[in-house]
Amino acid sequence: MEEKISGTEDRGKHPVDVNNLDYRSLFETVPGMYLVLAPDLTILQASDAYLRATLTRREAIIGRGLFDVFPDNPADTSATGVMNLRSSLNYVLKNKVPHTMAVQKYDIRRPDGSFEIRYWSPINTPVMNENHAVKYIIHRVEDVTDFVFLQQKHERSGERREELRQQVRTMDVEVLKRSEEIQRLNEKLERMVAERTRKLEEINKDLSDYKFALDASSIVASTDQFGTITHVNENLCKISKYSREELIGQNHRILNSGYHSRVFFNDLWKTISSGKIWQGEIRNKAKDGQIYWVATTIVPFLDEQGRPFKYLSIRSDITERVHFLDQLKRSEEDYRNLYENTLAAIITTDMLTGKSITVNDAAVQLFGYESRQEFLFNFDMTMHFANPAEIDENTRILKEHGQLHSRVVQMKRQDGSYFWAKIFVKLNSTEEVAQTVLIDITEQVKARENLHDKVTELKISNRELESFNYIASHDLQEPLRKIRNFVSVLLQNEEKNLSQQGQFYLGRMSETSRQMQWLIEDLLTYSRTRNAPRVFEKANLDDILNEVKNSLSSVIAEKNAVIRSEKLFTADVIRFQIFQLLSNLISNALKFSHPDRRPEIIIRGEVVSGSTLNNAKLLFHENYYHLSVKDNGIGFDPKYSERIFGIFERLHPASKYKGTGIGLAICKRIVENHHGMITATGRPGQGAIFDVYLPA
Amino acid sequence: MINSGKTEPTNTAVRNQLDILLADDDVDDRFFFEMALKEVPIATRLTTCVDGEKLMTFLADDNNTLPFAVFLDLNMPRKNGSECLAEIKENERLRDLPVIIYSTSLYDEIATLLYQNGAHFYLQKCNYSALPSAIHKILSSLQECRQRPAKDQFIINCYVS
Repeated sequence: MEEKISGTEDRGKHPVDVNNLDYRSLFETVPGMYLVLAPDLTILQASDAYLRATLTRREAIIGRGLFDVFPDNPADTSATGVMNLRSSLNYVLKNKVPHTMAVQKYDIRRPDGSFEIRYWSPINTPVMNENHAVKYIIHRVEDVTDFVFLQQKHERSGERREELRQQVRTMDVEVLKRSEEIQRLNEKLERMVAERTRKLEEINKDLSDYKFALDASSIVASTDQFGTITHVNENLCKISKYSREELIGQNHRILNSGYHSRVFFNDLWKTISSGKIWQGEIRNKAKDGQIYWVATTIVPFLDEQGRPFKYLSIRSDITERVHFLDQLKRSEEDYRNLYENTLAAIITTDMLTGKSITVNDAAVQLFGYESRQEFLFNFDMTMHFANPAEIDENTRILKEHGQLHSRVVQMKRQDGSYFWAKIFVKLNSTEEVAQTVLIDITEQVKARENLHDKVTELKISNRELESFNYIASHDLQEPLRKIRNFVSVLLQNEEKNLSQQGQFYLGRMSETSRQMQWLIEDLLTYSRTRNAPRVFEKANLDDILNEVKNSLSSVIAEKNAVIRSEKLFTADVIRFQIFQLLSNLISNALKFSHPDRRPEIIIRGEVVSGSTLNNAKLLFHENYYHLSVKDNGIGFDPKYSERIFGIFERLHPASKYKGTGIGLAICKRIVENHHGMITATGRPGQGAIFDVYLPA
Repeated sequence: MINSGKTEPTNTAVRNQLDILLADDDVDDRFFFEMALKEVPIATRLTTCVDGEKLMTFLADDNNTLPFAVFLDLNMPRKNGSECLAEIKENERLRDLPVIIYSTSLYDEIATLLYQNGAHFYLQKCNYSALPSAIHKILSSLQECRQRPAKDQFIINCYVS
């Protein structure tokens, strides 16, 4: 191009502006007959030749409609000019391609309004704008009127070369006919094309519907023959969390989760590369590592040689289903393990035939069979009841309630030995199959029998001990009383005859025998608190307290003690035991009074709710009688707060505080007889509080 | 057959002496009772029987003067105290004889029963040191009035530590 320009140097000497040629003048004077039409068929421009041929003037036609200017000849009833031309122009407008019309009779209106016969051969050509829309139509015509007339004149004059003329005439007519034929065929073709186009449009619509449905319902991707992704739909982006841009151009392996074996993918590729559809379930991995399962169909598209050039994969998300199946599998496995490993014997039985369907090893062992096969072949539950009378009863309950719950039965093994079992039977929903679970409780039954025997033995031995205790202490009283009496007589009558040493021994003897008497008396009381009949009666504790104070009046006076009490309560109690309780607690407080203080004992009683007492041994929602005895005595170390209630338990040497170590044990027994509890709280040197809680 | 207790040697005293009868199988208890009785500032003459049968034989003998009071142990061989009491109260001649139960044990129900059966007092065998005053209290009471006391006066508790 550059060479060409440099080769025409003389152009530069006569400068002509190539970009600004006068196209208008050029067009107007061009030798052919041209008309320029707007898409609405308004005449925009015409060449001079066209104006001359159509007997029109430029200013008379520019801006006017084509068929306004060139109507059909009203005298020619068979005129088709307007119709054919309109059809051709529409074709051009619609299909945006040139259209050649057949030779066309289209008469021209003279300025005087009459029409002149004319024949034309028109070609219509579209001119496109940048948007590929029709901007103009160039209508080019050849006036073939003279030619057509010449044929007719020659015909008429009948001059020489008749043959030739005849031939030419035939030919011309033929041409005309042909062109008419072509026109017809053309029209037919156009109709067919229009029809085909319509059909294609329909097919196209169908295809786009299918695509829409597919994209909406499935995860779709296409790859080339190497597996490189060429197309993805929105669903794939959504599930894989990759963007379209990230996926396209990548190998499909980008979604591989590493779960499937090489063999799995080899098989897949072997199938699709041989042109067959592959279907299966694939575990894929999203961008964020999330695993998902897809049911996948891969369709290969083949070229002319039958080789795949494109694969289309259609998937659906089955992650939930896979997870559900996994869970189901795990749960099934759990049950299977449970069934196999449990110590409980499990048998399922067909209710119609009475035959066992399945059995676990525990059941095989329990009934003493060799194997499951042997069991299933031979087992008949009714043969294994130790007491066949129970069969009907159990069957009745099973029929009535659909289940047997926790029945204890004695069963018989294959070898005739017996065992105890707890039996559970449940019918399934259709009542066709019963599941029987047996738990061997032979050991438990034995243990329970043993325990029962032991408890009975213990009860007997306990009773014996208690009565022994009572009898012993009761019978011990007699000789002791006598010893004490002799000591008294001795002291009274013979003391003056004894040496000082002898008198000392006698004094010690007197003291020791007195100590022993207390011990026996307390033991008797302790024993009686357990053995005496427990008669509960309504009693006023204020009255009981007064009686106690009376009975202890001499000690109270001796100790110069103050006993304060608020109003107590009336309750159902074993009266003499509550007397004993109060008596012991007050005696205790008096005994352990502080040497530097005047003894003060405060007794309180009230009804309280267990919820306010903050004691785990008391019931939260129960009400309790709370009786407290508080002193200002020597107290005790809190670590002894439990031990203090043990029998023979003493915190102080007998020489310092007289006592048998039974008093508080008696208190505890009394409180227990009343189904209550007693606690002791104390600090050395700071007094003690005894709290008694009796159920209200 | 009948062990007579020591009697007061002086004749002058004999007329004022109270005849006391004790039935107890226990030799030591008889001894303590005798010792204690001597300490009581009332002139008495004690006669003792070693069981219930001998007591009833003694009482049935018309040659024997009826005593001022009978102290009766409950737990005795051959015939126990309750039986003796019942027989005494059924016998018209003996019916008014004051009977004092003298026993180690003391049960309310038994005591009540004995009171209903006509016993005057229930003296629990106690420490020697308290015995003389208890016997004194009973005898004085009987000297004042031979009738049975009220129920609440029935039991003489001398069990002092």
